[in-house]
Amino acid sequence: MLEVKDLYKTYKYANVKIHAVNDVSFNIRTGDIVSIFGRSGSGKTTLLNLIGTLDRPDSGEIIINGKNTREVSGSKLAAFRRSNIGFVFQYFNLIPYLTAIENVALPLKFDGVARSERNRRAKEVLEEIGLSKRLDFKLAGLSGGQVQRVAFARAIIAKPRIVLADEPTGQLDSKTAENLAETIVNLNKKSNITFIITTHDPVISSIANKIIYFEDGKIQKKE
Amino acid sequence: MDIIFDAFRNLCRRKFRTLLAVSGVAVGIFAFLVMGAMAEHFRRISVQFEYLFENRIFICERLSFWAGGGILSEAKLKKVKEIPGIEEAIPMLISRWSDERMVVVGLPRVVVGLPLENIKSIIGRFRVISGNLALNDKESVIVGYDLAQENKLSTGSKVKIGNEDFIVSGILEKTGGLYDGQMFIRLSEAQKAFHRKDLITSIMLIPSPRVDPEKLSVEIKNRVKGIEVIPPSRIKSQIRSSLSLWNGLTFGAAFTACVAGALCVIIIMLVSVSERAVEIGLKRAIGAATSHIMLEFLSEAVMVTVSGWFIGSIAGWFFICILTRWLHSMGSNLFDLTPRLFVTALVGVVALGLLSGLYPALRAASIEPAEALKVRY
Ligand SMILES: Nc1ncnc2c1ncn2[C@@H]1O[C@H](COP(=O)(O)OP(=O)(O)O)[C@@H](O)[C@H]1O
Ligand SMILES: [Mg+2]
Repeated sequence: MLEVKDLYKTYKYANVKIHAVNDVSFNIRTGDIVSIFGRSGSGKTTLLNLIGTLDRPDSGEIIINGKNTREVSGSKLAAFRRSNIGFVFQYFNLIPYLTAIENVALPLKFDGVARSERNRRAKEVLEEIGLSKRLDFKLAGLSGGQVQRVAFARAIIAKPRIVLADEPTGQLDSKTAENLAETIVNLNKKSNITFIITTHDPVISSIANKIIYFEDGKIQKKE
Repeated sequence: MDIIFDAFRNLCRRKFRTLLAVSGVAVGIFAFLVMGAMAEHFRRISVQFEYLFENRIFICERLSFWAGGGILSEAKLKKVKEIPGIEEAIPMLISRWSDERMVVVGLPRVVVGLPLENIKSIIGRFRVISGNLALNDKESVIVGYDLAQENKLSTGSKVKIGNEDFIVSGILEKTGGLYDGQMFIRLSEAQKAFHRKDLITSIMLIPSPRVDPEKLSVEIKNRVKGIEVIPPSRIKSQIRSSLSLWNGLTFGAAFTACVAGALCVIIIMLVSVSERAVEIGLKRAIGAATSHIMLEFLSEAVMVTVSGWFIGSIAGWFFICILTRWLHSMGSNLFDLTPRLFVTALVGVVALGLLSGLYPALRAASIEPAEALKVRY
């Protein structure tokens, strides 16, 4: 379903070469929850960006559902992301002046879905993850855990094949993190969407059926 | 619909900044409308001038063909009439109607004295809205539309010209030009009213059919000394050159408005783009195409300029209405606020919005999501 082969990505910063992703290969099946476990600076975000086509590898292949991402060129990239990939980012997820429902409906908007239809679907997803009372709240009115749940709702709304989540519990306390983990499991069961979640939080690893340990841009071991 | 709604909401989030940019555009539109309305006014007058003086030769003592020049003698008129190729030679006495009111702007209010038999040739092309064109009595006067309006004249009203009293016998329809501010009486009565027996200020010549008016003008100039002969070509070129001055001023106003408006729009849009860089990165990541991002910013830019157009148009319309009222009360006019000025401005403003929004929109579309989303809050 997702194949990563011999992936390399090197950054150059002030004449120092940083091998952020250094010879990485792995396979993931449809419906898996995969945790990429590693310390800060180990290259997790870089790897997710490469898989999510936000960044280009120096070399290596990424094949999503049989399609080599290298062959998806500039103008087709947006549509490719819309139909294949959902994102939950580490720091910035919700547009602060939009309501929860509008944030969730954004991917459908870019798909050209009519307002009433996309609001209906966004409402449905938000209700599913227990936020039916926060539909019209904006970022400022939501707690950290609620923000992350809204972000997951947005990531799955267009029914992508993979959701890439970058340290979604990074900013949360352990109880809230457990709640979020539960939500992820439920979403995964219902939709059969593949989740790839980077983390250094054991709570997330506990729900994963595959764990990739990551250090200095290299895979240490897979479980 | 989404695009318009989103643009509106984004602009409303930054009210003060939006207001400043919109004002910048509005000021430009205001200036354009004021200059444009003046140009339109003079264009209309010019068109009528050309129509009235088509194929006409004008003679006066000095160069001044509408407010009268020096003194032409009856002897000179006779000499001119002897030249072959002239169908009609119409002596006229043209004088300001009243010395009390100094007309500062627009066309002067004047009295035209005409020989009875030539009335048809001068104003016969127009209709009267009341009375007739005959000047049946010695004290009859035909009044132009604007003059009648300003002085609340109707047929039978009394008008004082010089030291004599006249009775309005006809009111001309609105011609949209020169004649609206003029009144016509018999030449002999005009000479009496102004105590200048035999005074003629100008002669209008109608060439015979198939006579070249330019050649005829040269002929007259060679034969009769001490007069100014103005051929149709010179009348035309004078009209054209004063018109092109007005067009130039309007164009200048439009150009200045464009530059000022574009700067306003570019600046606020660039600020918005850098302010919303992270948000744009997020949208890109979750599937916004280049066209989505560009449209978002272009629509905001166009909305700013169109709002500026709207406010500037209302302000300009209001200002010109007030000024026109005041000018009317002084017996003149300066503006023609034609619909095409508003339409031209609207088209210009949409183009301006698209053009000046283009660079900021391209900047926005080139934001790399991976880089933008590294920013921490
Ligand atoms: N744009 C960049 N330019 C230079 N170096 C970068 C850039 N992005 C990431 N890096 C470097 O790559 C390494 C991996 O970073 P990252 O993928 O963000 O790690 P993680 O997400 O695991 O904390 C770090 O050492 C970081 O300094
Ligand atoms: Mg990271």
